[in-house]
Amino acid sequence: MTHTSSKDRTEIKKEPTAEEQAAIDANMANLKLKKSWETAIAPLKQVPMQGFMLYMSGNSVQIYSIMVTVMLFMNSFNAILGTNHAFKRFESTSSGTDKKPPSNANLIFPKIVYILAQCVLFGLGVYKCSSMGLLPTSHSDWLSFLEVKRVVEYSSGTYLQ
Amino acid sequence: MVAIQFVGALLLAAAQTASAIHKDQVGQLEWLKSLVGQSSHVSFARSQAGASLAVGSVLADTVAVLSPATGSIVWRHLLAANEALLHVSRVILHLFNLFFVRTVLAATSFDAATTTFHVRTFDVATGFALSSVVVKQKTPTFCDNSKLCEKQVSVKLVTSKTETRLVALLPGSTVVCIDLADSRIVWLQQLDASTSFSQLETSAGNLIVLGNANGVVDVELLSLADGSVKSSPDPSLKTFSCYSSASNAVICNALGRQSAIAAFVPGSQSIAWISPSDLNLGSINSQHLNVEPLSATEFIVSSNVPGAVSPASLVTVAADGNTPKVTVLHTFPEPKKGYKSVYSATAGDKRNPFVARLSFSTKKGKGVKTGSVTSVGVLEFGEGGLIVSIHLDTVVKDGAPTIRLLTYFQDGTMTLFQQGKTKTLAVKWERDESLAHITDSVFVDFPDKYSLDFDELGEPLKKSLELDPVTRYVKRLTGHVGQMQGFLKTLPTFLSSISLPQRNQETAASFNKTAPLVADRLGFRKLLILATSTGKLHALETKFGHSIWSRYFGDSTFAVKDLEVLRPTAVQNAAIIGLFGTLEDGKKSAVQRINAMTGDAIGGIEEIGGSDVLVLKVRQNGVNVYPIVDTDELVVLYPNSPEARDLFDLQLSTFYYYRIKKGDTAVRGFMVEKLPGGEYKGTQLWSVDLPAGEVVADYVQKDRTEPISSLGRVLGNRSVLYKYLNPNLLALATLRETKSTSNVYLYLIDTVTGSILHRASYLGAGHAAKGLDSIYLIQVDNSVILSYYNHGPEAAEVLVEPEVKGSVDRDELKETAGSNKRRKKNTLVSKEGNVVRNTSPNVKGYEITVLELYEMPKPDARIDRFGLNFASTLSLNTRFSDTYTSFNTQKPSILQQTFVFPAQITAIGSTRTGAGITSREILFGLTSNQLYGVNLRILDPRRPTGPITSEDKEEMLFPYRATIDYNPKEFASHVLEVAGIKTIVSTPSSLESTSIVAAYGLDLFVVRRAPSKTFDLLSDDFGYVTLIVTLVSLVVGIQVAKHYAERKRVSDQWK
Repeated sequence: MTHTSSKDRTEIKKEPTAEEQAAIDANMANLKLKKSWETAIAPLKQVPMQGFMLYMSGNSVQIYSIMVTVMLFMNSFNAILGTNHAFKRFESTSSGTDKKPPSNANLIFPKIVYILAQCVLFGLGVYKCSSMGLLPTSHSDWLSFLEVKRVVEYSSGTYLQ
Repeated sequence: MVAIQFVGALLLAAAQTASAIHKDQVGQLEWLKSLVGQSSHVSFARSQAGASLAVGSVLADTVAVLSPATGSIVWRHLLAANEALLHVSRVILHLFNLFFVRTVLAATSFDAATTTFHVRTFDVATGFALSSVVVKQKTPTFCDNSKLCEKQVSVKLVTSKTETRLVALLPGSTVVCIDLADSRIVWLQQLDASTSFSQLETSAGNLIVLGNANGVVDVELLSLADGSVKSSPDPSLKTFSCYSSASNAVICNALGRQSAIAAFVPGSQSIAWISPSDLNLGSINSQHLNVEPLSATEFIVSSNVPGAVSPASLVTVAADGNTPKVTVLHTFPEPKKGYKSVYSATAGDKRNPFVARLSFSTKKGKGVKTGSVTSVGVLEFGEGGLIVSIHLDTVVKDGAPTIRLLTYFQDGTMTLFQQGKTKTLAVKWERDESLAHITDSVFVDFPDKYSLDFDELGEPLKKSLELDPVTRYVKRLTGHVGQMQGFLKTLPTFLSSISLPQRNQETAASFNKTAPLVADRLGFRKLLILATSTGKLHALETKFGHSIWSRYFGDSTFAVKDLEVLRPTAVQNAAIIGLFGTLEDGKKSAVQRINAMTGDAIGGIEEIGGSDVLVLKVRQNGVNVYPIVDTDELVVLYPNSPEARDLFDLQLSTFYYYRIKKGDTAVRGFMVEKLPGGEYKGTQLWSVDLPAGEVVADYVQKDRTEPISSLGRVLGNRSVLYKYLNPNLLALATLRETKSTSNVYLYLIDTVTGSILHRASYLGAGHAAKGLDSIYLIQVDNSVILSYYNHGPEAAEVLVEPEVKGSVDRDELKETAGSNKRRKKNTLVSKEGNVVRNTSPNVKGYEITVLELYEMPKPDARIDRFGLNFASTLSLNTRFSDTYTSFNTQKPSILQQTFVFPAQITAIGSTRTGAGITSREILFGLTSNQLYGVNLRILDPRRPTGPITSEDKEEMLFPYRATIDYNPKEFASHVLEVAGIKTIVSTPSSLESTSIVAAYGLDLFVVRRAPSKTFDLLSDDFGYVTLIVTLVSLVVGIQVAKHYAERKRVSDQWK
């Protein structure tokens, strides 16, 4: 019964015309693009939350703060590596009649923005490391690698007395 | 990086806790040699408490009593540095109507600080001070030379039924009578100052004072009651020496009257002249007559002509009417030719007189001296040079007379011989007092156990190299199996040793003298080689203080002044030490090379120059060359080989030297040029003339060999202050003193260019008192530490800052002087109207000023070779040049802070470790006879004076406190008394945490210090057992769990 009715429905549904199909595709593409932009910007939305978490974890080198920071690094690193995967569902599929390969040129910008947004998160981690004093940016980090200067002159004066 | 930070954090954390030692560690980590110095006054004393040996040392300024039975110190008093001991005499006090006898030591000393004389008496049995009298007298100028002063002191005791008085003849012709009961001066008589009186004798109610007035004998007779001058008997004598008995007669020998001896009984007011021939002394020169009192009227008269026989007679002197009469009681048989004799008689009048005579020869012969004791036997004295003095003591024990003999040798050894049951003299004990007069010291490593000539199984390497690999492998395997078997045998003892918490297994008693002299695993065992002013060299091992060898240069005039390691210890090869010294009383300079392990001379004594030479050192490619500079600035190399000359030629263009001595008013710098003939000559390059009135009080050059672990200091915000580490930096403290004022100035001079990098004034600072040196300097890493006594603002001499040659910025001067926030800012106006800030706090006391030198005031900035600085935080080492030259440099940035030190300092030193990672400890020798350590973190100019910030906390800075706390845990000498520390030296051990410190002056003390605690050692109470039990239980647990897991897996599969 159910089967019949659904069959009926499909029968009822008309095949879209080429124009209609094009419109649907364009609509779909637009929607995907819109969605892809949302995905691209999503990491930025995490920034305040991550920032808050980092702030809460404190600047001392402890297991919790290290964990939070490492997770942040790992997440953003993995996300950057998996950029294509994240945008896979927004790729235009080969639908319709034309057998042209799907053009994903319009996903490049969202991807770049996505990577940049992940970089912002990554940067947040770097900033966290810096504020925890884990980045070798100061003179003190390189102090032990400095060579003692060779003194050119030699002077002494000891009486035998 | 993290590791270093971690280690640093560990060190800092450790430094906060004190490194006190446990009770059972006492004697394990340190050793002490208590000494009394080369004695000048020796007397055997006997009292109810028993026999004792009283010694006084003018050289070491000590009064002490030793036990004749063991040679150990019963008590000892070391005079303050400003007091010079002049005379020690043993006097016998009769108390309560002669019933109670008390033996007392009377010590006379000259106090340079107050220019007064002190006469003190000490109870021989206990060492308690019985009385102390200060005699304020016009200072005889010659007392600056204590040797002259010593000769003019004579002390006698006068007892009567009612009171006990001490009469003392003091330098400057002063006779003073002291009542010992209430320590007061009864009378004081000033005699003619032009006569140098040297002898004081007492006789019935009178005092006889003898002196020399321009070659004529001056004899003064004083009344004992009030000191009034009575008369002078015979003024015609020319040279004399007089001896008196306890109460009655005086006997003198006199030159001028040929072949005559004068006997003088004071009551009779006349002198009898007796010819030596009447005394069976033969026709001899009376100049060499020696008279020794035995009892009230009995004397031994002997002749001591050098090289001739010394006959002697026992005589009595009695008053026969108005004329003295001399009767010969006994004539002693003549000893061998060239022998000297000393005599001694039993004390006490009631006993039969017993006279002992010791004849001894001082003939030279390969350093071995022999002496013979008449009718006792021949004594063999070991290598100790000539006998300086012999003291003979006789005592009647159980009715039989026995003798005791104390000999003093030139090398400072003191030996006591005692007659045993068989009547032969045997060595009872020996003390080596030369260690109280150390002039220089050096640490040397013991050779390694392993050598390059032998393989690990002890086989010669040459042999084992010839074998084929398989045989070698089999051999090694069998060797290891053998070692394993050996280990299994000792396993029970090994297990029992780890189960009990044991500290050092090796103790001083278990020290094996026959064991080969090799380095220990942790490097605590080193050789401490000491040169002494007696001419004796010592080599002691630092773990327990055992003597490895000693050597005496007595037969020559060679006096060792400076020890230098010519070649350090390398694997199994012993180090070679160069003994730099003088010959013929400083007229010539010479060097002698010795093997550090055996003390054997390598070659002979080589002359290297005239007097007053500079011994410099050039080190290149591991080879040391010593340029010797004479007073004409001619430079001679030691060794003077072509290789050494080539090496020196390479350094010549960058080689400089300077001349400075304590008491100088200028520092002069020189460069060396090669003359056409190939000689080297110094040319003056610069001179820093100190402003008028300033003299050099102390100076110290930075130690070139100091390890540098870090080039900068990391601040709280992780920026770096780069340390100013110029090895040519000379710190110089000068003193400007007037009658009422005293200022100290500190100069930091680059000794290459002579430029004054810093000058600071400490108004009101100086020595605590005349003769009490308080200005000491030390350079540690990038710190300069200065100690002085602050006399307060009234002693501050406010001067317009003088222009010093080398010109220092005057604004900077004032700024430095006023930079100390703690100090009162009294603004004074000098005579010239210039406003000068007086920085002296209104507190008198010892102060320590610490200066830290940094390349730049700003963090992360460095002095570059071209005078530029790159303040960029991103700049790395590649942007800085890798060489440092004094000719293109800037003044360092200096931080300064002053601390009040709560004790009087006699010496400053610092610990030293292998890599310099461990924080340094500054060690102070104190007048309380202790060695005190202050961590350099306490002496830190960066300690914040205001509220402490988070960055300060990050840097682990302590807030500033003006006074350095006296922490009982920081006494390196803990309960021990280390008297008269004058020098503190240190050497690293193989452990980075631990430094071996030696402090000497009078005593010699060696201790291990770990300023950051022993972070590189497992603690003594480490739970080895817990660790092993945990490991074993883990293994067992794993096996059990594995078993059950297996069973479960199988049963699961059956389901």
